[in-house]
Amino acid sequence: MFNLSKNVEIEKVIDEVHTTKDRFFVFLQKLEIRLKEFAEEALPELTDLNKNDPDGNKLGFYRMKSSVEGQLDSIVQKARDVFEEKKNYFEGKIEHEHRSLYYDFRNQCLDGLQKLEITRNYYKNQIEGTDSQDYEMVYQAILEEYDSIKNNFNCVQCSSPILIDKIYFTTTYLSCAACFTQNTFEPSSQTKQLEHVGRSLAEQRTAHLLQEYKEQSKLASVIFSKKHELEMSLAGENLKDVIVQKTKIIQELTAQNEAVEKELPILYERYLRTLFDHWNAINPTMKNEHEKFYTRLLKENYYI
Amino acid sequence: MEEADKTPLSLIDRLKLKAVTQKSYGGALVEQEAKLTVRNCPNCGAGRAKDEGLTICAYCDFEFLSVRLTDGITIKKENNSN
Repeated sequence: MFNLSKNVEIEKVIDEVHTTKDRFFVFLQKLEIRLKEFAEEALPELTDLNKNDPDGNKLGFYRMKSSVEGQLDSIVQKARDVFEEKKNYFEGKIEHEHRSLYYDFRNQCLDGLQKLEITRNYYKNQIEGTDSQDYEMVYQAILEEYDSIKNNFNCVQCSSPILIDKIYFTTTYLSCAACFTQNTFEPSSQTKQLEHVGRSLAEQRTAHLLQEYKEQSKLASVIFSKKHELEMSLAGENLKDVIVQKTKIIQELTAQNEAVEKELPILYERYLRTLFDHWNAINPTMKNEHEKFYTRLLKENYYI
Repeated sequence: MEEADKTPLSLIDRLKLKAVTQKSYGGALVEQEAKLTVRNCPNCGAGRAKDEGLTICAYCDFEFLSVRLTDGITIKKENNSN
C-alpha cells in the first residue's frame, strides 16, 4: 500500500516535470518571438537616430541604445528567473533515485535558455553595429581647425602674436614672448574631444587585430569544450579500444589547446601595443598616462 | 485625423521620445570656438607674468589662486609663485 502511494506520487511528479518543461519551452518560444520583433523594430530606429541625433555628443542615441539593450536583457532575465524558480522547486521535490529526471529537466531547460541568450547576443551585436561614426573624419576636422587657427592669436596684453605650437585639448596657459604675460588659451569644443576621439579612432584602426585575438580566443574555447566533453564521456566508458582512441584525441586536443592558448597573450599584446601607438600619435601630450593605462590593461588580462 | 493622433505610441517610439527629450546633466552641449584671454590683477591691473608664477600677483601680492599647483597636463608645480 505504501509503495503504491509512493509510485502514484512519483508518477505525479514525472507528469509535473514534463508539463512544466513543455510550458517552459512554449514560454521561451514566445519570449524569443517578442525579443526578435522588438529588436528588429529597434534597429532601423537606432540607425536613424545615430544619423540624425540633434545632440552634439549623440546622447539621445546612446540613451536609446542602452534602453533597447536593457529591454533585451530583461526578456532573458524573465526566462532565467522562471528557470531558477522551477529548478529550485524540483531540486527539493525529486528524490535521489529519480535524480536523472531532475538533471534532464535542468539540462534541457538550460539549453533552451542558452538558445534565447544566443539570440539576445546576436541582436546586441547588431545594435552595437548601429553605433557607427567615422572618427577619421572627426580627427581630420580637428587637424584642419588647428591649421587654420594656430597663427590667429595675439597677446591680449600687448598684441604680439602668440603661436599655438601644438594641439591643446585642455585650457592652457601660453606665455607671450614679448611681455611674458600668461594668456589663457581655451580650445574649441571640437578640439576638447581629442582625447576621446583619439581612443575611438585608435580602436577603429586596430579593430582587425582585436578581431584576430577574439577569433583565437573563441578557437581556444571550442577546443577546450571538445576536450572536456571527451574527458567526461570517458567516465562511463568500458570498451578499452574506445578509451585508447578517445585518450589519443584528448592528447591531441590538449596540445592544440596549449598552442592556441600560448598565442593569445601575444595577439592581445600586439593589438594593445598598436592601439596605444596610434593613440599616442594622435594625442602625444597624454603619452605617459596612456602608457600607465596600457600596463594596467595588460596586467589585468594576462598578468604579464 | 484626430483618430490618428490618439493612437498610443509603441514601446520603441516611447523609448525614442524619452531618449531624445531627456535633459542632459550639465545642460545641452554648446559649441565654442577657440579663444585667448588674460586675467589681469583686479587689485593693481598688472598682467600675470610666467616667470613670477601664476598664483600670486608679482606687484601687489594679490592671490589669484588659493591652491598650491601640482603637476598636471600643462601646468606644473614650478608655476607656483614664490
